[in-house]
Amino acid sequence: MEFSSASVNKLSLKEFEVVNTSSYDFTGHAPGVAGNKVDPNQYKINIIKQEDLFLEFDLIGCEPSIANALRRLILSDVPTMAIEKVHIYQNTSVMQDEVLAHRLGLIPLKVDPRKFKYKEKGAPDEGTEEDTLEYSLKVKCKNKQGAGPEADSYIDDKIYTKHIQWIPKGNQEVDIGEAGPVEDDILINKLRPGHEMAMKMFAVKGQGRDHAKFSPVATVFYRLLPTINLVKDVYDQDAIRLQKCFSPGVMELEPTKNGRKKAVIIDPRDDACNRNVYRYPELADCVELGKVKDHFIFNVESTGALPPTDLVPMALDILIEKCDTFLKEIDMTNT
Amino acid sequence: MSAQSHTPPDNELKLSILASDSQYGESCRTFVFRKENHTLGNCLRTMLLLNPQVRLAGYTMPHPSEEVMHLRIQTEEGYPAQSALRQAFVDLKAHSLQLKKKFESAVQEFQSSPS
Repeated sequence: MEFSSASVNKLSLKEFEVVNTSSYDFTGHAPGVAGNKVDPNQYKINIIKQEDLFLEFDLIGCEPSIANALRRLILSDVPTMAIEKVHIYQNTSVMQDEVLAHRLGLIPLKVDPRKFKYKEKGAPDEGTEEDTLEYSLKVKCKNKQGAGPEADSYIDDKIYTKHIQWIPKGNQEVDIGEAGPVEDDILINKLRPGHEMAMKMFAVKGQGRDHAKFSPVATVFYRLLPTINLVKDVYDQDAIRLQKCFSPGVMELEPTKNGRKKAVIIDPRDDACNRNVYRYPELADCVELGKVKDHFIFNVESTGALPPTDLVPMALDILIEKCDTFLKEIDMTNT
Repeated sequence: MSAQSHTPPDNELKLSILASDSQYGESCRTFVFRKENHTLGNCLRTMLLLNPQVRLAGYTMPHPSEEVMHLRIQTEEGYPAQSALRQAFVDLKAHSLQLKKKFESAVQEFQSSPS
């Protein structure tokens, strides 16, 4: 089968199917590619947007299995600290103990998990300074002095994460500095006068594959770069309709010399790929829709424990570590 | 960045072989991976398919309740399946290191550019 170099890279979005999707599930398709040396120009990475918790970058030239492995590793193997054990001394609020404990576990903690070790199975809850963080929550709701029965006449009726206090162990204050929740205004519980909560929480290091509370990202996802190819020229009313088929900013109308308006593709990157064009049969044969098979647009949104620019190298470190572990095992059985 | 491991310590061996294959010689093997899934399996399969001496490579997870992955490799005569597996790991490590380097230099470039 002959493929032109242009089509080998692109999958096509037709009306009822997507074609040319398979990425070489057979042997011998790329003879002579394997070897210890990786072509240094094979991969290209461009950072598009980088904010506090949010990262968008392009990964070009990558195999889909490696891009997916990166996504899966960030989601489930990069560790974080989260509250695991809660010792409840007093809870007269309306929320049940286990529901409250569940909520406490989901609170993201602004701690670098690389400074900690995993806790051993069977170790006591209190733990050591190397593997556990201790927090305390002690609140009692009271009536405001001399206030009537209005809504804001209570003290400490809404319990936020700012009420959680970190109790540093040993040298933690010096080594770690701050270890509180990422946000101060996450609502934990609501109380009324007379309700009291008193508990100690213990946070440990864990992975997302164990419990989703340990996942370091709100989410991480990727999509492929869309391509739009105008096969025929489209003018005036048809052009306006064609423009509406795509997401805003993808296609614009440019005036031509005759005074007509012509449809021109500006930037297919933002297109949502909803294939709206196929609703209009007369417009459907003016465009060819596709996606570039090896251009991944990654979005990483961190929960706050680690900056997103640290998450990607950590995920790759875990992949490298897996390779090392197995290479050691293979070599061990050989000798 | 410390050289500390990101994954919890595991004292038992993770790799073994399905016993039925040893009668067919060195070039057919099914490798059994403990506590591994698509993350590693699909990557290894890709690396194996890029190796011109590999005739067949595929992976499966026999049952979702157990975290076990089977990787089947069949190679040309004279090239043991275990060597193909080893080469796949070496290749995967090389690709990951390359990706990591590119990513870190891209972040540096982005942070140092004035725009």
